[in-house]
Amino acid sequence: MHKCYLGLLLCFFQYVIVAQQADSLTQSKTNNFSHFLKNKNIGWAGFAGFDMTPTMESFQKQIRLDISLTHERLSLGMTYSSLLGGLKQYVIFPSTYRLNAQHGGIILGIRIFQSKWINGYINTAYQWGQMVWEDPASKEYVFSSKSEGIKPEFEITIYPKFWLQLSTKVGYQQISKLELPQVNSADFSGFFYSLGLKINLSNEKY
Amino acid sequence: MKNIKPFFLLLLFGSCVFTNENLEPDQQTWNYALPNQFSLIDQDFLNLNEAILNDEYRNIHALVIIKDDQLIFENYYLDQQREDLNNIDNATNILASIAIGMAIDDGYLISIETPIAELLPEYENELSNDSLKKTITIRQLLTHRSGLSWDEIVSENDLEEMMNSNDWVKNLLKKPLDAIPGGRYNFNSGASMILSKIIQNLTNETLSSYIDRRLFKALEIEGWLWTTDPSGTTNATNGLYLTQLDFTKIGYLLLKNGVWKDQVILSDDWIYESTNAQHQPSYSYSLGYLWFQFTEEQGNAPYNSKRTFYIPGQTGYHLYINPEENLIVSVGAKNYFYRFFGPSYWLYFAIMDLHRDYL
Repeated sequence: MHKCYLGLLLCFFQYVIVAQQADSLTQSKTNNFSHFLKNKNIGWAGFAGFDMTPTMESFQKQIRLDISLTHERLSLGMTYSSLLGGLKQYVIFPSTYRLNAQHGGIILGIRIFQSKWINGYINTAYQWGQMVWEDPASKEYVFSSKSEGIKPEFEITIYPKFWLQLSTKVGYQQISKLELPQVNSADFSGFFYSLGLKINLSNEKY
Repeated sequence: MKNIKPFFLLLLFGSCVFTNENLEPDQQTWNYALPNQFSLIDQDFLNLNEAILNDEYRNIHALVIIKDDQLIFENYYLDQQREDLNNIDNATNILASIAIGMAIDDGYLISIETPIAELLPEYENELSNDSLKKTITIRQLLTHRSGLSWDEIVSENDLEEMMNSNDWVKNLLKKPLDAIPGGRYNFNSGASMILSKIIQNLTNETLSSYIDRRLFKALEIEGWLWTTDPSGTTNATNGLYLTQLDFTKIGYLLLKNGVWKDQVILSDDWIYESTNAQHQPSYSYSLGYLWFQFTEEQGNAPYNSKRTFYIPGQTGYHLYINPEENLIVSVGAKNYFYRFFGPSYWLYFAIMDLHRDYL
């Protein structure tokens, strides 16, 4: 169900992108939709960066990609994150496994302040995904568990007048429903911070 | 900006990757822990693991250690994996002992002093050729003192002959007595076939069916295989195939005095009686009801294993239950030339040495 939902969401964004890229020779429907988005003041924003996410009493780097539709102060989109490098530890002694995690979900945001150089946002993401212990030698997954998480965060973008901006976020993630040996939801819950680049074609007026 | 489309296609692909893995659920019996959580040293166990990998303990397939209700060691060797079913050889006998205890608990059997002739009317002819045969009791079968002529230690002729016959129980009961029942000890793993047939007659279901209903289902043992003799009697001599973890569960039930997840599966009276020494046929071991124990006289036995009972399957499937240490050591191996006391036996000693050093 989650997969379908995210797939549909992404297809919709695909369509938005195509609509925005359409040139003057493209026929009516796409153009109409593009005009519709412009008329309604709907734009889009994308974020690519790294989260430093809580992992077993330390921070682990994970790649993060967000894409959202924006309308005035609001944004709604999807987010995807994947743990990089992978934590290695004894799971079933004496075997060592590597932890992999991937999550995806929806993200809702609101701009709370706007200035010449800095914009501030509050976002909340709800994510579904899977965490696995992987055998480093065979690359096979040994144990896997579905997990869910909620991530409220505060975001600041610097130099908001350009479409490419520096973005930094601080937030808290609460993971739940994780059932893996040697780890639990609390091991991945806590404060996180992230840094990345944001593409903002939001039709916002400065 | 026109080149941005592939980026989003990549994102679409990525979003679908993360939910496509469906693995078997993990075992739910024990939590995982490391040896160092029990005043043991991880490196010692890593060294032991290395020694097994280097085949210093020959042909070990699996080693599982449960300490204080936690799984502190589980590893598989020689291309074996957790889900593999393996024949536990004559460690199968122990299920016949457990089944007798359950039959008493369930009211099918009054006493192990009951002569087997009363429970096996279909073998009247075989039991009639010697009046003493009719006096053989279940207790004597459980303690390898039936008196039936049998040799599977020096040669395997009798075992082979039984397994080549159409009715293994009949083959066994046809054997002459070479001692008075209850007198001389003579290891006879074939005698468990008689126990299997007795359970079948008492419960109107085969031993495998009875054990499945009463034991395996409670212990959540789902993947198992149990062969029969040509007449359909469950092969309690050497016919059971289990995964190593499921084999370990049987030991864990006994360590917990027959209680599994707050449910009494086997009475603690039976466990106490069947796992304690009934007689000592050798300086190196005593025997309960098919369970072995270390003896006081055995100088090299682990000092912290006085109350340990174990089943030493001849090919190396050994299960050690050590109440003093709240410990189970479950070994899987395929060693056809060592009999009881081969590499699996010495592996248990090595593990107890690791306890000895840091107590």
